[in-house]
Amino acid sequence: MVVLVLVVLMGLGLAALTTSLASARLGERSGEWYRSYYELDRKAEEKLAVIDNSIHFSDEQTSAYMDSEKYLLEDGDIDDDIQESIHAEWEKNSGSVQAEERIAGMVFLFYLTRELKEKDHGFEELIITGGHSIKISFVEKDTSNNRYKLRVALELTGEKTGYKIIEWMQYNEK
Amino acid sequence: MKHSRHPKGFTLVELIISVAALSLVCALVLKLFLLCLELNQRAEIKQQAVLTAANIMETIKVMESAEEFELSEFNTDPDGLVSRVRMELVEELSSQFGKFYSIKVEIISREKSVYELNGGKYFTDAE
Repeated sequence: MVVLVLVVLMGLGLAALTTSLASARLGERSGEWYRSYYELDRKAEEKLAVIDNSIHFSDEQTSAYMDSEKYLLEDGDIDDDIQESIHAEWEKNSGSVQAEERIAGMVFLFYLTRELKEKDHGFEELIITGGHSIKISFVEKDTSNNRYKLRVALELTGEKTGYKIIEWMQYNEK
Repeated sequence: MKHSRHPKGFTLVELIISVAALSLVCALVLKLFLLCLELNQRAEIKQQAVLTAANIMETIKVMESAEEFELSEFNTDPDGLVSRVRMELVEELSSQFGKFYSIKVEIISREKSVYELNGGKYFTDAE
């Protein structure tokens, strides 16, 4: 009888210990997960700062380009093929406000792409798309365990240098 | 009257030994339960600390300006955990258009740091 009580007590004690250890481990893991999440989040915020600065810089460059009417020239300070299509656009629709807006859009996209892609900001999977509205997306990877990724996408609103974040999602690749 | 060679019952020595063994096992089991209690308390504090830190971080992240942070208070929460929050301006990532701050949230329980969370926030200087 006494032996039975001892065995039961030991069994309960071990069960309680296992539960407590599992609980402690869960707490640790949850803490690690939050740490990793905010580390990725911090990196994405850093990139957001870079993008915001680049948008402002590109806007200034575009204004300077448009003010100096470089689109009238065959030879501007931007890539030849883009300068050529800008020039062609101007030749076709010269004087129209829409043409000027389209040219400004092309120039802005060129400066923004150059600013973000050619300078080493450490972007991963950076995608910049033009067209009706400009969209920028990139992915941040968790360097500590390589399991989590954070995808960020933003869309320029078209009003000055404004943008809105359309995606800020962390996911597990495995 | 004849005495049995194998009398029923226990000798004093047997009793002493069994009581000692029982006490030893009981003490071990008690210690095990105390350990469980301590582990549970620690896990609870840790989980509360993690949630408090994440909560503070999210509160900062939805703020629209750094000035709003300056006016906020994160000192203590009802569970007796003390929160220490620091925000530092990172010059390299700041410009006339916006400011990047590194955020460090530390949760302290009974004067011991139990959890630390690092993050960052970019505030645009929208006109």
